[in-house]
Amino acid sequence: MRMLFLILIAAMSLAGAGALRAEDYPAKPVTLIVPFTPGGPADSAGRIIARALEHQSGRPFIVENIGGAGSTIGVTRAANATPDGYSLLLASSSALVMAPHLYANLRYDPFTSLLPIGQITEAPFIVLVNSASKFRSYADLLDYGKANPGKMNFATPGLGTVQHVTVELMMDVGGFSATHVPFKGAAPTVTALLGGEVDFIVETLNSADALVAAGKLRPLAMTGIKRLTQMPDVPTFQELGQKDVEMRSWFALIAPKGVSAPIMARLEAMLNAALTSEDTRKAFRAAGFEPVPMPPAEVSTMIRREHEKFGTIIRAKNIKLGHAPVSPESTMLAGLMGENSVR
Amino acid sequence: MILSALNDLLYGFSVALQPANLVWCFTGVLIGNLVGVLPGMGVMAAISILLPLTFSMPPVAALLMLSGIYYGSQYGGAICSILLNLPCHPPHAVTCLDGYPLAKQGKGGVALGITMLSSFAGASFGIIEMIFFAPALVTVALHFGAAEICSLMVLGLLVGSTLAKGSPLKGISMTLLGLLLGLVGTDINTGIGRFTFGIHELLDGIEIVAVALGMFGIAEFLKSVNNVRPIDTSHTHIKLRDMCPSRSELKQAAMPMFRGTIIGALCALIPGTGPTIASFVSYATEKKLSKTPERFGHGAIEGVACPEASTHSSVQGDFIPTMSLGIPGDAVMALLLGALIIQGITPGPALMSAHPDLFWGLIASFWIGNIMLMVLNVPLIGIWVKLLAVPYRILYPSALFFICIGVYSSTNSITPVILTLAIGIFGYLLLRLGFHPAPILLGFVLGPRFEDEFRRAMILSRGDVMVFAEKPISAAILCLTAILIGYQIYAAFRNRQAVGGKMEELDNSLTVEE
Repeated sequence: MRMLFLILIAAMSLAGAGALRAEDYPAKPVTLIVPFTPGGPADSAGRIIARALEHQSGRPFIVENIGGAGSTIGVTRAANATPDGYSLLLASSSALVMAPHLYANLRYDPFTSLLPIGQITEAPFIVLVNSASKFRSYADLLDYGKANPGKMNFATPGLGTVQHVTVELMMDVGGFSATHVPFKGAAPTVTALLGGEVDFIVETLNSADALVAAGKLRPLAMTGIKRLTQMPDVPTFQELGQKDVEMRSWFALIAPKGVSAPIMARLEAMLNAALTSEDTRKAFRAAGFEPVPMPPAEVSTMIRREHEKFGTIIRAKNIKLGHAPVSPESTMLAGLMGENSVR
Repeated sequence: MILSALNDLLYGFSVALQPANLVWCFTGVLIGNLVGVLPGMGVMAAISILLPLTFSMPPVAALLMLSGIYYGSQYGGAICSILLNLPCHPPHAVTCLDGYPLAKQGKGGVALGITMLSSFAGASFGIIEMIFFAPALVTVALHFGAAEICSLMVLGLLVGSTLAKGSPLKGISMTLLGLLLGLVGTDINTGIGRFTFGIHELLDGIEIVAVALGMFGIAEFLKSVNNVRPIDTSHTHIKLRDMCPSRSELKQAAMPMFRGTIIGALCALIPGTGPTIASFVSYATEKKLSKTPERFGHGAIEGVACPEASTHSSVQGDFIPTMSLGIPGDAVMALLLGALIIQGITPGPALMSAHPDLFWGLIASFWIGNIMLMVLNVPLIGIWVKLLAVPYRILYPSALFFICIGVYSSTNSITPVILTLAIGIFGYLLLRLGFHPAPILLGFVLGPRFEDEFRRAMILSRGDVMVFAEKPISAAILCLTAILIGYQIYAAFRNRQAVGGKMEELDNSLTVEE
């Protein structure tokens, strides 16, 4: 509380300081919008990088959690923030890659309203089964899935999540099918797998590591290019001959479009210094993340590439999220009938 | 096994009693208690504000403090519910039902005394559950899949239907309204937003805080603003003796407290069933079991004891799946795990063996924290009750102000604030028309859960409804439900006969007199 108070005083005293020059940046506390509710991987990653940037700049970086609607609410807020470098965003593929395909009426454009500063972390997805499962390898699962179409169940944190699209891609490339059981959030999917209710899930290392180490879950394959140092025995899809199954969960530091070039350059330098500092790398690793810096131009290309790749899958499977389609002239009543009009 | 657990517990006390940890634990419960008293200020907001502070603390101290905020706020939460009819946290909405009438009768002190006792009893049981049964209970909990939870929700809705007072038809219609409100948001199976009216913030549904505070706090505020009367302050000068419940009141509260504790402990185990559902179910059970159910809702001491006991036992029990599997049971637990992850500690099944100081220290600190809360709150009851002596024109507007800040902090956006106010105005209309808001909250809490699990069970069984009868746990719960319905019909039938018999007797006596 005291810190908050100090920050408030600092913010008020600086608000009147007039035009700020790039070399003075940051001259006041910076807000980092994390578009997810507190707790969970995005929040952890956000808080670690905020702390690291605080060390780099000597100014507080304050995490503000604005969750909701598949992270699009927080991202909208960031996209519409004053582009002075004092409102930044921690983004993931949810909002920048998936949401544009899923929601009909987004109030931001991932390419024109936001500018990447750099990537922070990335992690491949791991295919996990219960350790009591009869599937000893990914080939077992694949064979069973081909012989029994739709018979297996897989859980995901929800429709149109990266996990969901990853499994759809796996099924497409592998030529098998299974039944989707959507949940609300990642935690209950792990519970469902532990309870034997579903046959497999895909998750990142930070949610799987402890349960794999305890012998409760078994990893079968992972969607990265290289094997993970933490799980050296788990083969990649590349090795399994399914090169197209390449998926990552990533977090990037993003600014609203319009932040001046010198401030962007300063932020990029700060981010790089943070990600190469041993303390920060250790903090990320301990929390189950792999810090992987990537320059802004490459992040933009990567987002575009994923945008196209995921778009194909999402369109093919006809996955949609958001409000029921309503024609502009029909108002409240149409909204009330919304559910029926879709079916 | 028991001996080794006791040994570990002793070790835990040696960790928790270290002066620094003791201080952090106290800081946590104190902040929690204060946050709990402020209407609308959520635990989530409080913990996430303080989270950065813990980065530079040792992990044990950080966890002790943050957990202290969580269970400490539950103690504070009861205070406003009883004195002002403001359920600062959703689980305490049930406590309002009887707590507020008690306060209006001038028995606010007694109600708070009973609350503290029940809370301590519930929490203690939850802790014991965690010490001795955690591994076994986790195995049981994993057996609760979609079908089982769905059946449980049916039972909950049935038992809870007795929450209504007055006309049963009005009660049922309010439960249905609650179910409808629960429908708002994204349908998880199709991804389509229902009743969202193009508002992005509604895609995740209505915040439960908005419903609880709107329906209870704001509606009540609007109702009483029409007939401002000086609040009876003769009862606000409370001596310690007046807070102590009398022997007969204690006797009345004892069994409900015990049953509430058990229900809370069970609810904690079932994934995603937190204290809110626990408090509803225990209240409804008590009303069902009571010989004088008509007293409920008009200041029955049992109606305060049971939900508080179950809330606290469930809050402590919530830590079991979180700590033994590393899978958070709810949003607050996710935040606590997040704090550990940032500290570089991976929560999971190995936590107990890899970081025994953390695990057992936490458990020991629960007890210490709960004792601190008792010591802290009992003398304060007198001061809390004095709140009522604050003039109405100051007290309620400031409460309203805190509600707005608190609800805003839950998501950092203005939409829930507007929603809370709108729901409050709507709730006021309902109150004027003689509809009681409690069943709305019940439908709102249980409905979405029922729907999700039902549809998930249907996906898993490929549309075969028999799955509910084939799974033993689910079948047992459904049997219980059927027995309850059967008993209800039997009781109604017998009552009618009894009444009929009496009428006959009356007729006879009348004819004789003639």
